[in-house]
Amino acid sequence: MKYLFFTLFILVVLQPVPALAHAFPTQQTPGAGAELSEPPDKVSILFDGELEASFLRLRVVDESNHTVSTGTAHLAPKNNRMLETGLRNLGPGKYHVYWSVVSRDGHRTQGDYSFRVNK
Amino acid sequence: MIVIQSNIKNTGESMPDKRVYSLLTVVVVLVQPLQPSYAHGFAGKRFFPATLSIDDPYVADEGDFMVDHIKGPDEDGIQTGTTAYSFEYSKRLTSRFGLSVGGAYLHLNPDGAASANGFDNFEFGAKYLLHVDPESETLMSAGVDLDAGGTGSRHVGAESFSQLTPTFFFGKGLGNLPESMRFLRPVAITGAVGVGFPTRGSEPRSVQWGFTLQYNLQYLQSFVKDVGMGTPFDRMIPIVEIPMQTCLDKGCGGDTTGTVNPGMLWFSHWGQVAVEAQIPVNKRTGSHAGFLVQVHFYLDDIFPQTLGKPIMN
Repeated sequence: MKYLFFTLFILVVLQPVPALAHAFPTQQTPGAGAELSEPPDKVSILFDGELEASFLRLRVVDESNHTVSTGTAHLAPKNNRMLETGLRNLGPGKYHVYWSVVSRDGHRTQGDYSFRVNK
Repeated sequence: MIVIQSNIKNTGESMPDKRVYSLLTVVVVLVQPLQPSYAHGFAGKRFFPATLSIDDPYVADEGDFMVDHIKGPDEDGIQTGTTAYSFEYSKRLTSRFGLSVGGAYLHLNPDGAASANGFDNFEFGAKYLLHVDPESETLMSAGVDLDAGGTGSRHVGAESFSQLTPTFFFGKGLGNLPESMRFLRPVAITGAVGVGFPTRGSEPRSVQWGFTLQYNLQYLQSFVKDVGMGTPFDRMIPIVEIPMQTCLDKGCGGDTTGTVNPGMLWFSHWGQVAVEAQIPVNKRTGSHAGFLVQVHFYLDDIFPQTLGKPIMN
């Protein structure tokens, strides 16, 4: 019994984890709760798995809920784990990012966070 | 996994061969084609992990192995160390309805008496996901568990009668707290309350109740404040589980036993690993701390198109 548990544990924990299942963000620029002195020109979110290009959503709004992201959400060139969108020239204020993605095997995840631009 | 164990026992092979069999079998099972499937344990952006002592407020294709050790009084009041090697497998029939089966192999070590080994009664469950609200990060489910009397060994005290326990499950994330309380947004509470009805009239009914308090560091990092945590801390969830049982009648009305289980979960694509301590809430439960260790597999993530997919959509 103990050898079975041990074998299972080692096998699963130590195996290289492919980009499967739910995609979680591993790096967001700007980050959640960031206080920026310069306005960013884009929002990019790096996920821990590959994304389906057809099901990307990334929208940034200001405090009046007006959209300040430009164009459509898209994958970064040569990186199908990176979700991006451009931004208008942002003034001082608080902005909210809404995203949802579908990983390559069909699992959907979503999230939102805010950042602030100070001047 | 049970089949693997049976093969090992019956063939009497040497230990290296057993390990090779285990390795090969698990590799074959894990290497499967991956295609679209449904999510588990999510309400909006909130991820609810599988918890060790309180059953989850959702249905999923999942399986786990757990080792549980604690020392406390048995039915005759003799201090007994109990180690349980348990498993549970859950399978969705639809995206909202699932069945489960679980069992535990017990090793009992009573003070001043011979130790005993054997299976406890097997448990069978059915659960229906009643409600999911992404905005309020809320989940609610209802289910019933059957502790099947006579399926375990009397050497380890497995009862000859059965018990049915209808149970209500809930989960609630605090993600919509105001900005001033944003560092509490990663908190989630899950819980369950059910009444156990034994099939033998002379046995007492009991309320099985409990809750968990979780703080999801991935939620903190991704949705509240990027505090710069890296791997593996950004996938950890500190947790406290409080599983309790209160007797209702037959001379033990009001007697409550339970433990407070502080611990840590770490989750990944394939599943999660968790460790918890078990601290008895009173002397009726025991006077020694114990522990729980669990490896849990998200079968709907590992095998999204086969084993992890609901039978009917």
